[in-house]
Amino acid sequence: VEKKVLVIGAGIAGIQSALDLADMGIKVTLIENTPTIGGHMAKLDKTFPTMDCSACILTPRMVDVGRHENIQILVNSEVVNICGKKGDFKVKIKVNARYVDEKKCTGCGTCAQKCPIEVPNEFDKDLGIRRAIYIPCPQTVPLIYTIDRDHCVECKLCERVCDAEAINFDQNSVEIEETFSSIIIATGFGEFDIRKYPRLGYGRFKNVYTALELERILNASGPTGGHILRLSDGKIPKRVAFIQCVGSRDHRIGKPYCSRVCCMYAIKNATLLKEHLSDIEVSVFYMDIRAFGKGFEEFYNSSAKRFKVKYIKGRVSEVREVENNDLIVRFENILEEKCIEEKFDMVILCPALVPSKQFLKIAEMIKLPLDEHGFVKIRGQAEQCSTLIDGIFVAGVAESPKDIPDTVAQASSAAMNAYLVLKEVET
Amino acid sequence: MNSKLGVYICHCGANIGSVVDSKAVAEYISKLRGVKISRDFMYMCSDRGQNLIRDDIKNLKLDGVVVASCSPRMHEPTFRRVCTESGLNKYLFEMANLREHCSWVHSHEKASATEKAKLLVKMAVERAKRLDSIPSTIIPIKKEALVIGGGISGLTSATNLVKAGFKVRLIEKKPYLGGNVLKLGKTFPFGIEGPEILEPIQAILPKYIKNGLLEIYLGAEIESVSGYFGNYQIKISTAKYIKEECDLCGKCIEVCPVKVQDELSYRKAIYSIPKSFPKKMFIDKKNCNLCGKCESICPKNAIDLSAKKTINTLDAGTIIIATGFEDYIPKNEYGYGQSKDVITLRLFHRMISKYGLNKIFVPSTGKKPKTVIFISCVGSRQETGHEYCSRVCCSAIMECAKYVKKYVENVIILYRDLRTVARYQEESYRTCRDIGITFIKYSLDAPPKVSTKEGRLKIDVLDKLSGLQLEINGDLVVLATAMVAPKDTEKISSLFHVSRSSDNFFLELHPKLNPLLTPTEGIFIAGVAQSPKDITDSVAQASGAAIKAAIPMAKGEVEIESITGEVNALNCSACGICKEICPYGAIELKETMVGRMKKISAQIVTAMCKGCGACSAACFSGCISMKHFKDDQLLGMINACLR
Repeated sequence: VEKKVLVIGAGIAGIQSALDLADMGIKVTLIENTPTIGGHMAKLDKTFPTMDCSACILTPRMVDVGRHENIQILVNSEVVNICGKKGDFKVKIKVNARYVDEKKCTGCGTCAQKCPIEVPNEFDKDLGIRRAIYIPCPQTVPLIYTIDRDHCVECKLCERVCDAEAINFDQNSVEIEETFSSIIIATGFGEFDIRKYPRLGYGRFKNVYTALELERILNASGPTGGHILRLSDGKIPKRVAFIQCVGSRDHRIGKPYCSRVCCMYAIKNATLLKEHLSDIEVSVFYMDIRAFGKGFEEFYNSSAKRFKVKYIKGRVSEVREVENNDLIVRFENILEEKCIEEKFDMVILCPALVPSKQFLKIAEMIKLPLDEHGFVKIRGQAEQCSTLIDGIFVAGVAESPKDIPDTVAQASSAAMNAYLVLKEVET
Repeated sequence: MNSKLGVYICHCGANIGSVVDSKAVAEYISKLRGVKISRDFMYMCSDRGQNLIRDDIKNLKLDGVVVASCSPRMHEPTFRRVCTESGLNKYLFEMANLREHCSWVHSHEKASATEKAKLLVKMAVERAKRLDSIPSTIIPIKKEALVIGGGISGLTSATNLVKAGFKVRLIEKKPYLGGNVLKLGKTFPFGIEGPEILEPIQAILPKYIKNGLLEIYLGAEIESVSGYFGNYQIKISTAKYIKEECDLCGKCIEVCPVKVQDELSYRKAIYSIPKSFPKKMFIDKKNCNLCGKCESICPKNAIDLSAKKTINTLDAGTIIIATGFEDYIPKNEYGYGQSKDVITLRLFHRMISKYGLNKIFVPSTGKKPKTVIFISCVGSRQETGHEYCSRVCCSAIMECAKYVKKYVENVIILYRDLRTVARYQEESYRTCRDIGITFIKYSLDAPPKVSTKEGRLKIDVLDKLSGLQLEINGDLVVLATAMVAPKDTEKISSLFHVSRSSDNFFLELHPKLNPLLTPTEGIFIAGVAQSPKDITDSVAQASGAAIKAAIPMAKGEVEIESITGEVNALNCSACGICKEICPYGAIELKETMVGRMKKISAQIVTAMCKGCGACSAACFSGCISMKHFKDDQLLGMINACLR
């Protein structure tokens, strides 16, 4: 029997683990619950500290996955059951019906152009729209459309316009069972529910956004086509505030841990706003600026010196809405020992990273030992990828919050560990 | 010149087709000289589109193919494969980008977009006419890896690779393994002693040394490097002063007359290190006076003070650089060097380690301190000097502070920003606050001043949070110093043609998605050699680097860049500018035969050439051309565009 590895989650961590194993000549099944691989990284605009466009560096790797003869991609899929042990995990996978024949669809997009139904696009954090037959983003891999039956009205216009005859409303979900020698969990993260801080106004005020929403607004393929606008009135913002540690480093309402990426993406987004709009004022409210990785401190310094981003050490006690959906931010400037109120056009909240729901489901299914925050317990500091279940490894934020370079390094490490299990089982 | 071209214009659904009149383009192109067939199709990348090309190559005996569709980044490999499968050399394929370069950016100017598309395809056709078939070169990769550096990163990479079945040679400049971790006391986040982290990794080494998969060279110095990806030769020198027979009986230490101060205490010039690998004595050659007493007393005859250097040439298919870091030595900052009681965090680790001094004391008095003060960012985050953050110091301070608070009354931490980003370390920081450790935020515009007052240390510091100028009395000041690139980084950088970034650590291929690769194929980096990081992240990188090094070795061969430079030896004046400028060290000046004439000219080692074209641009006599990007090919395109 050929030895295979299962990689759960096709964000950058899962992609990297799958590619490394496949390049070693190992057969990999990569499963993903959305219609495309790419995960959160595909949604980001630019990346710190090099300001590389996220999609530009990620999509070639997504294409590599799509093309690799050793990788089987299963999108719209979920793990239903895992049993067995190292070297012999029996995994039941449910491949949800997409009502489009994978073999026939060419990804031309005519169906979506004709589809009359508009649905908020999850990929754009619901800020943009998609159709009931859709791909989440233009770079979708594999490039195959999916019908969202929850919103489809079955007008069957798509069926009529599809030259490839790929639409199949009778398609059924299928359950497959396969055996894997090792499993890598790379299920990424969810966002902390920042509505738990009603005083910061998210969900109540139109111009309070999360950081991921801002990424989509900044992104050229996002809902505003990359134009920085307030979605409430289309006005170009003049003053923007970033509020750090919303849910991180807070043992009362939020999570006691540091989410490790928020300082850097806030610095990056603040710089981007300054690059886009030269007369914009950007303030970042922080507890500690944690610019700890390679080139990060230099990036932080340049944002303050060259781009004149204002960094204010202090906590925000309240965000209030006034006329025109403008926002008043009340904060303490600790270094100047003042309590101040200032008016902003947009407020961006940086929420804590938490384990994804999908991850918690799998963890419960296999009784995976977790820490009190829901991240995987690891064997020790020199075994960061090893969960407490033999033969099951973890990569990326499923282990604990980390940025993209640390994620890809850990993903390669998880691949190495999975490969060694295969070697061990062989002998 | 190729005269039977097949040209294919893709609609890409509506992406190109709704802006560019693909049919009109195809028709226009069909009339060009040299074009055998010109077609348009909804989706060239689909199976049906690909089969169209396959059939035409076979039936019409095409000698070149042009596809006008999307960016070559996406589908050039696809269409090249189609050509190869149909018996056409893949370099006879040319692509025009009608989507990103035309329809997407001109969506509101349909008529002009179609005209531009015609021009783009015409240019591609002119180039395709002039393309040459280039044979692909496959080079074998030796299934042997070299790991440079025997710290926790190098050890992890090496053990991963031997477990995966590859031969590994590990070289370390010190006479023992373990690197910086060996000398750590309580490490975060679990409070484990450094040697105990190394123990399980070192425990499996003998098994692989025995079965021959692992060779370890200690006290090794790299003399020279030759070869290229897949086939490197590294010449190293080693000297073995202590032989395998040493059983640590300790008689040599008794007779050694040389006392050396080391880490706040004394040792002899011959000494042992707890939990070291190998379990042997070590000689401090800097301080040894060669009296020979140890040699004569050793019951096993294991000591040879006059051991000669031996030279070994090691083969390697792939190389992992894991050279780690050195501690920044403070230059009179915060009273370092003036008061014995100002020490580095490294030394403090030796104090609290049970394998070190295992005693917390004030160096000048030997007494237990009442107040211990930590100062962060010493040598890190400086305006001049090291601008970078050393990433581990805040977390390391928390672990040490938490520990020392059990034994001393006051612990004070002077910090700039608290960066306890490692897993569980934010919680550690909170614990530190809960158990009564004092935190004072300072900034670089008013850094703390350390002086002595009535036999104790006095620190004047402006507390940024309260705005108060404070005077603190303390007994022991601990400086968390920066991680800096080791002194021999420069040497290794030039030996292996691996660049460094502005922080002096090695430069990765891409800081975001390729932190483990270097621009030089076959050479990888792991751990702090790339930039400061903690044990957890170093180990993850190291085992990640191991699989990166394993991939080409598992394949056993690799197709190297076919688009390389070519030297016209006749016109070459051997000025050497190309050799200077080549970032890959791929050019040598060598005597060659040009016709019947012997002359010196530049020559390109194709296995090392990456086809960047720097030499071609730099050559004054214009005698280096790039395959696949020859002057006539490019001029053909320019002419097509301008005429």
